[in-house]
Amino acid sequence: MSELDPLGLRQADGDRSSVVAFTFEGRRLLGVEGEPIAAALHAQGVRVLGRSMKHRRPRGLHCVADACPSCAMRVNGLPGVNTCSAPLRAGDVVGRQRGVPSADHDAFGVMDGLSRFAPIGFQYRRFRRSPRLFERWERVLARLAGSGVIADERAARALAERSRWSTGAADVAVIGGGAAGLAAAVAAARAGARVLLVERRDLVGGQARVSGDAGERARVAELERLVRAEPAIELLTGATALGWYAEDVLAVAVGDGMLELRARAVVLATGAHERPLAFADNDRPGVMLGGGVERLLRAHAVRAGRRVVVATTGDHGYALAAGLVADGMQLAAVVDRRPSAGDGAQAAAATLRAAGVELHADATVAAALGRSAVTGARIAAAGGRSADVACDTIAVANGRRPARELLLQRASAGGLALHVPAAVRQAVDDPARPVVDGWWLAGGVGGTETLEAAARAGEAAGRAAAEGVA
Amino acid sequence: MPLPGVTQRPLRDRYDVVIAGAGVQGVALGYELAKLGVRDVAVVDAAWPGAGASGRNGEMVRSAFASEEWTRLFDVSLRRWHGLSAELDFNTLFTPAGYVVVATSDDEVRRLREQLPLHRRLGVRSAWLDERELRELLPAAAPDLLAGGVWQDHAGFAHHDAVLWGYARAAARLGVEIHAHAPVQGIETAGGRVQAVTVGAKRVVTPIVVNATGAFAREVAAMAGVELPTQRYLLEIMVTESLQPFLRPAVASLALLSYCHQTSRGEFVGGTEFKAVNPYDDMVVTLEALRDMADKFVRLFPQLAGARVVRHWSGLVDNTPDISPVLGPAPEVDGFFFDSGWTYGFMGAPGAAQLLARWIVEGRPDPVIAPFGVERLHTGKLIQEGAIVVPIDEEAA
Repeated sequence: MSELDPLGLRQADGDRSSVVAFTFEGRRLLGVEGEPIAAALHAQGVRVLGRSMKHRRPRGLHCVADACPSCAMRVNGLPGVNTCSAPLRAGDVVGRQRGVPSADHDAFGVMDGLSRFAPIGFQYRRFRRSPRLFERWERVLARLAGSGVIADERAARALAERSRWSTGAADVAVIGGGAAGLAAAVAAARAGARVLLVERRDLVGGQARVSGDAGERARVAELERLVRAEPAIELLTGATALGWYAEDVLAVAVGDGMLELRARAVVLATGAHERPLAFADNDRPGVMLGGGVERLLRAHAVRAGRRVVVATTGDHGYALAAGLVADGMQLAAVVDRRPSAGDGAQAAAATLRAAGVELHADATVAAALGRSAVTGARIAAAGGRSADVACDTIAVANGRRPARELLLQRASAGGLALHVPAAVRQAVDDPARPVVDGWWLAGGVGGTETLEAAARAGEAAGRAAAEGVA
Repeated sequence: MPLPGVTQRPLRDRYDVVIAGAGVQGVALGYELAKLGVRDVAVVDAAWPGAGASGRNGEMVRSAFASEEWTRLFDVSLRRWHGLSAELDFNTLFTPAGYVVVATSDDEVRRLREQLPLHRRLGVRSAWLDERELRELLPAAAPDLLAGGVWQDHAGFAHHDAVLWGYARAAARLGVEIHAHAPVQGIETAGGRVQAVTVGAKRVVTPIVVNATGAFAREVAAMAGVELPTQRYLLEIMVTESLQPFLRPAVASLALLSYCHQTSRGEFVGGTEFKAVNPYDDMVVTLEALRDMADKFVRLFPQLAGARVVRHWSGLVDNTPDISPVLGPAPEVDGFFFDSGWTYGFMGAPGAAQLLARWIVEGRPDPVIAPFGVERLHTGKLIQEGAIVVPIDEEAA
């Protein structure tokens, strides 16, 4: 199989791994049980995971954080499954949702070329005087639209039968099992609270768990050990808190069911989302967020590609690149929008230079080259010159923004006077103070940027939350 | 960026008509008044056009109801819907994919079937679908819920933002001023007549004020010293990720107290109602409602299991005791008009706006709109409409 195929590596990695067979569009493939379905596909060279809705552009693995729809596929008869997080099981039947005859060669790919005939908002101008034509057009549109097909009857019936609605309670609920959440759970438990720790992934530790910095990985491993050793903490993985509702009820999707969670205090430690960068064709399969490349490599032992260009706006891009080189990946270039690398990047830059990686400062990735997979990056220097560099992966490192969706949801209704940016600022200044009655913010969602700051904020918030309910 | 049709100019000192509320009612009424030559009109909104229920509803349109009053009014509307895009020069994305009200129990079948002679008599296009025909029309629906239904093949749904934009642009072209972030704070009356309204900090002289403030109509009426016996009511609705077409017409189910349709982009949009009155009176969303919607829509369309809800929101309406709108003048205060109390306001707007504009200009109501006057709420001669998807208190009904 391909160079990306790390099956041997993953088998050697530990006893937890077991190889299972699954079906992808009629082909029998192998993967590691429990790894994300998309990781198994990516490892075997499947880069196009679907097609976009209107323009039918190819879509591939992008965030590896269950935060975008780029990897949505049909799995076991159900539509819209985000395969970057859905764990692989033996016998899974996986397929792409759009594409005639297939997502690799989609006849409707011509829609992309026709897009100038359908600019944004065109539907309000066209057909306004001819209802009959509009009706016909709508029927055509309906055939083109739609991500997935509704579930197979059998799959739907089975899902409805196995899904459960349950209720739960805790003194302190901690949402997010990154460094801040782990530290908050430990501190709250030590202060005497019954704690429920909710983590959307199967693995706790957040981004630090897949960091290129061994010290960071060790730090969260230690926090995880403390959490698992603490009898007052119940750890719920594969569980997504997807709503903060009236009367402070949290909705947590757990497997196929829903947990209606009432906690006396809540620490939101939902972390941060990686920011993408705007450049031409930044949606091509092979353009990924840097954290996604790291997660794929260090959590799942899958290389995102053979040759990587890092596009960055900060020192963290150099750390990302140096870490990937240290773990055996080939880097073509680091492209930094700033006039020069910052002080924090000098060591990594030296390592990269020694490894033969081109470092471009005062330059941007202007475009991704290639159609159904990235074949290169067009690098534009400040002077206006541009050059193409061959690569199959463009890793974007453009910083993070707080994952504050739950806060925004709650702030928008319910007569609650909550100004979200102010709440985030307050959490930065004093993580021990609740942002609203009974609710604390800690870690990336509360504006911290380093692992230690996140852990400290988590500890302060967790202790305060437990004392609040004591 | 300015909102479509919204003026950037400050309010002037006087207008012939001030319409409070720039929802679909207020904006459509402004447009219809301008068409009748009353062009010195201001439509003022505390937020922006469509911020309330007009931008939050289920977008569905029909005219076949159980009462003569509703059926006649909404049929004027449905006829207007068909020509609306051409008239406004803006595609409202009205899709005449049909609308079916589904009965499940024998009692529901009986109640719905009783309407058909009424529809015949009024010249309203409708048909009865039996079990077999319903299953053909709704192949993805659970067959055991489909005992029969009232079908209108020319009804359907539209896009609520497009309808607002279309009306707002057309009204603005005729000289109507739409002001956003301009809340009505007070209404001045003297000698039993409207004299002026206070909008924000500005006093605006006008002989006519129309109350089209949706969920806030009771409070705005009280500013003029007029009593409006309504109750604010929270409704919730959700939309799923886009799915390939499995449902063509709009559907309402009496048994499930639910209504839904699938847009041509593929999203499934639907709302349900509880048997009990929802206690909230601001725009919260509740997990209880999300669960109710998930349960009922998976019951109605079993293959929706696993489809992801991408948005869930709420809106407020102001219910009258008979759930019917209040249209026309307030007898206590000359110059104060109601365009209030709507629950089915989106579908009713094109017709009601046209008829109410004529009432305001001509001083007497068309027979179609006359039964909706406010007097009925004080005399207790309520409209008996039994084919709407609302939790009707059995004892009261």
